[in-house]
Amino acid sequence: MYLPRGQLSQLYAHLVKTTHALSPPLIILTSLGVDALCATRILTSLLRRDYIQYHIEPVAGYSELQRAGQKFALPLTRQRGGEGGVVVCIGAGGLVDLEEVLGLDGAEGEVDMSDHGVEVWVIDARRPWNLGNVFGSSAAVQQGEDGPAVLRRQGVEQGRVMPSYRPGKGGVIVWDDGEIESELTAERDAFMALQDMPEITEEDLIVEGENSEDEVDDEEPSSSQSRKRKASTRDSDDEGSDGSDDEERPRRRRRSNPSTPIPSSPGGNPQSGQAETPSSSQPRSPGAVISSSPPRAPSARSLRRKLLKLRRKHEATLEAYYTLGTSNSEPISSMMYSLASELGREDNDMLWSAIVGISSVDLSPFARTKRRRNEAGKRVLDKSEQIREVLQDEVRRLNPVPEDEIRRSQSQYGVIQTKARSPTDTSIRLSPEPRFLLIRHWSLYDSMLHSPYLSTRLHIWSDAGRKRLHKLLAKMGVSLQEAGKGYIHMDMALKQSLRERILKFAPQYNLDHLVPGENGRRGLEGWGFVRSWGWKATLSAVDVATIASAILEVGADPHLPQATNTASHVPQQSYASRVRSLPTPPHSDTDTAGPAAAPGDPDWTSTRFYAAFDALSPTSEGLDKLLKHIPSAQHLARSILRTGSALIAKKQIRHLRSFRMGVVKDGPDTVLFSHPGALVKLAAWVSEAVAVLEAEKGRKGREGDEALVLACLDEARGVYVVVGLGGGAQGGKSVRSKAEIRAREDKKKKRAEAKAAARAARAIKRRDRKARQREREEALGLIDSDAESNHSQSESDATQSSASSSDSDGSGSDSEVNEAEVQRRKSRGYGSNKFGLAFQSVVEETGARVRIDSFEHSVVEVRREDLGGFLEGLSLRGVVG
Amino acid sequence: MALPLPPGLTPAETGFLCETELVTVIPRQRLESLELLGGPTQPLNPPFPTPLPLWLALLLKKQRRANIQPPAWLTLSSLRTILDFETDDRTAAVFSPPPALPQPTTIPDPDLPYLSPGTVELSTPFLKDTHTTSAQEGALPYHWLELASLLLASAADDFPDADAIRILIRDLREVRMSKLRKGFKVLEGGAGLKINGVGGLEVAEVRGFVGGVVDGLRRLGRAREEMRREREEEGGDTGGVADEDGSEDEMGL
Repeated sequence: MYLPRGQLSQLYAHLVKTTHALSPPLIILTSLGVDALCATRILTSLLRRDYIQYHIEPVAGYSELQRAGQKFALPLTRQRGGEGGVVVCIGAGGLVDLEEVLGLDGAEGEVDMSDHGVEVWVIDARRPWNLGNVFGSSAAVQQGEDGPAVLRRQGVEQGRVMPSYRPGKGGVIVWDDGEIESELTAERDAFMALQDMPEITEEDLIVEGENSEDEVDDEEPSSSQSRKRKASTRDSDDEGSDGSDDEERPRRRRRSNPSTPIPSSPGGNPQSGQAETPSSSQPRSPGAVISSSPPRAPSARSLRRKLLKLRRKHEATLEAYYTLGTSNSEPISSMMYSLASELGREDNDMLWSAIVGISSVDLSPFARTKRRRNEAGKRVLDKSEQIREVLQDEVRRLNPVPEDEIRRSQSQYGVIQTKARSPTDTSIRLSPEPRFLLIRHWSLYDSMLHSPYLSTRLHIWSDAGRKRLHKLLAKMGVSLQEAGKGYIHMDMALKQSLRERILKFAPQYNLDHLVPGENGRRGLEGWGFVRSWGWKATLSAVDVATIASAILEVGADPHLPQATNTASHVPQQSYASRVRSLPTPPHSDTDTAGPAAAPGDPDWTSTRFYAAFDALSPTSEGLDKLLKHIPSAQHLARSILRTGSALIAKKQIRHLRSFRMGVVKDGPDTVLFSHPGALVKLAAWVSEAVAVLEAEKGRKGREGDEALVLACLDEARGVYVVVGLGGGAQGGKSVRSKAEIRAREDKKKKRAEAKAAARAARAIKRRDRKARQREREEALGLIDSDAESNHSQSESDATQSSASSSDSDGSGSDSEVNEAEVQRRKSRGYGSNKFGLAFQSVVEETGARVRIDSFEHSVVEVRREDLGGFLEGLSLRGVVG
Repeated sequence: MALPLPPGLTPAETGFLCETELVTVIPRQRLESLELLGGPTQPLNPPFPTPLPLWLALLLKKQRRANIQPPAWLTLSSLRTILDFETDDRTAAVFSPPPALPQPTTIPDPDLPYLSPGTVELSTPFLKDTHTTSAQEGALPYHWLELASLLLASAADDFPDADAIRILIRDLREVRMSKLRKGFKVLEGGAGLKINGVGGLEVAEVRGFVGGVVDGLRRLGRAREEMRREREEEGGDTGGVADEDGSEDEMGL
């Protein structure tokens, strides 16, 4: 089920109404990310004000999610003597069938888990959704004898939670950010149709066909809607009068097909489970009976054939959705803030949490979105920019600027804020934040040096790059000595004119967006947010997000980074020991039973989680913790610069057919980068640098070119942590090639490309029409060839569209949708990360021992010996990007 | 009672008493009328300002279900005029006047028994509406200091300029305390001190000291008084004995 955006507060309001002192506490399962942490902060502050008990449980990956399900969700079920309850998954598990992962579907025991009463709220920014979560009506509905009537739940219409919905029966409810409602209609129809349809395969037809071969298909192929209706009416019409053996067959198949590998092996691959969801959810379609004698249909066989065709089509629709690749949608902290504001309970603290969460998402390389233009050629704001504008309005609403400040600020407009207005001032302000790293806590020089934006564009890894930075500073009139001072203590006059100076000189160095300009609706496009804690400190949201994620990635102990190379082993080892038992074959059960963490080891997940969680608290204690961890963030930034520079300077980034690849094997920082989050940051740095290099050479590469796979050796465990960053990186977007002419050429080329793309699209359309024609013809002939031809068609589509410089891999397979659909899909698939899928299939092909546990599917761990084979398989796959 | 507290009310207790005062809230959520000991509250209907007891208002504020509107006298302009009055040389001897008493609703009738409900008129600590938005501007009510500090502590974001108000409240408090302290001098002579318009917390604050002083003075005075009275008695009874005693002493020496 999904909760539409318009009814966001419905479930929460009901929870508040029904909770009493003896109800079981709300279970909050939070993934380890700054965004999820901020969302949890908002939610818990709401809960605390409503006197609702809750329990936060950090989960770092699927195995922990499963364990949390065993430990917390199961005891709530009515079957185990609980009275139902609510489990909130924040940033965790939107991609998998949560009832299975949490063990609520009763797959393990023989207990009938119907009506278990545990509601699972899923708030996740990762896409694609598991459609079983979204549209399935949950295990609360069981394969009852009374047919499809029970399938319809009270107050749920096509998976949508209606205002009349009464919670309490349990099930998975996905909180929609508006995307399901607006974009997933095709998928919804397909899913619903599949659910109503009986399980049927080609074999059924072959078996059947031996008996009767003389049918003629005389019905016109109709639209999917009417077909669906027909299918459902047919189902309800005849109550399985004669199809006893037919009924047997699908049932058996259901049992012999252990649908998803997740419950059996938590360390296994969730992606496969996800890809199989349509079929795995199929067993739940209860009394679906294949009819052999419909009232007015000409023959059973032709109907069945049609049914199969329909089924394949719907499955293809779902498959296409899943193969779009993983991407990120609206940040969860912004979702939670919408909830608070819908309840009319928002305040500055919540707003700040939301801002920090969204800033952290903007920092992460997974959330890059395309800049679209509408028909008039004006740039349409993408989702994160829209959210940013809304937040700016919220900041203005909740933090009115005093009058004298407005008058005064005319003179120092555009200076970044470094101090509060008064000792009790905790307001949030807008500030033209430059893209420097931790500028308030570092010197100007260091902060420029370690900013990923600046360092990649100035080629800091070489001596020439450093010189360029010095030259930029010199042009701006800042002496190196001055720049080496802490920013807070720099010359006042210099600080006040810094922005103008940067605005003046940055374009000469390809640094166009270094400081936000005065464009946009209110001249505040790209402005950052700053909050003060009285005289104690004034921090920007980006810095807070950076520090909090550094806590999660480097460690909770702020004193470690000082003694870099030796001491920082400690937290990593504890992390290592937590996941020491790497499963030997993929999909193995070993590590569910095996002791995951040796006794005596500190709980890696929860120590870091709570350190970061406390640091994000809006009180002054939280601030102290945050400030204590600034060295961690600086340490991480230094390591990224060091390692990234080494990788690029030594030319260790190899260019394979469809992506680039780098391996971090030695150096002082491998220990640090064995944490996936840190490695993702490094990969983002490297991919940005590569994109800049490419763009400066004038090669406007295809999106696939920006794909990067980065592996880092974790010596202690003998595994490589592998991260894949897909296309859609913003890197080369604003980089101008050195010569103006070349740029113009590029533009021309682009225009030509666009023309080619349009031509290709037209071709696709034409071919689609042809394909439809052919299909119609084929429907009259052999059906077995249908799937094959469909497949080959999709391949040809893929090659065609890749020539037109777009990544329509996902769109190729569903050739039946019309052109608008194709376009929509293309734009949808943009920027999504296909490495999750690619890793998945490579594992299946090569049998490499790989552990996929992270919620981020493009982060895996590969056994040391298997890395070669793994990468080889990956490069051969070639469909990445 | 073994409570180690000085007689009178502690500041916390005064604050507690203050919490029964009505303040104006702007609700963010609906709330039905509540049956409280002091009578039913008005139902809350956002966004209409409603009077509620301070304790309830603070609770709702803490839960972000309502905003508290500061009373009319707790504004910058009002506090500034009061402070000007307090610091003016011409009015150096008196406190700023308390809010005006409402028009008497009853006619004093000597036939009615003492304190019958028909004759009771409300006066300072029990005045209605002294802390809501309809309060009189420019006059400090009885609970001014308590209310201001409670509101500034937990609803500072509802003030347009909380810091300036905090400063003004602090100034006012110091001016008035110094006035009070200046008045202590007259206590020595056993004279009274006119403290019209003084607030509850100020009373609680000086009660210990003034009480102590008056008590000590009384004790001293009693000793002297007793001596005087004794002397008077003795002097009244035997006029010449004292002289004789004196002479005896002299003689003894």
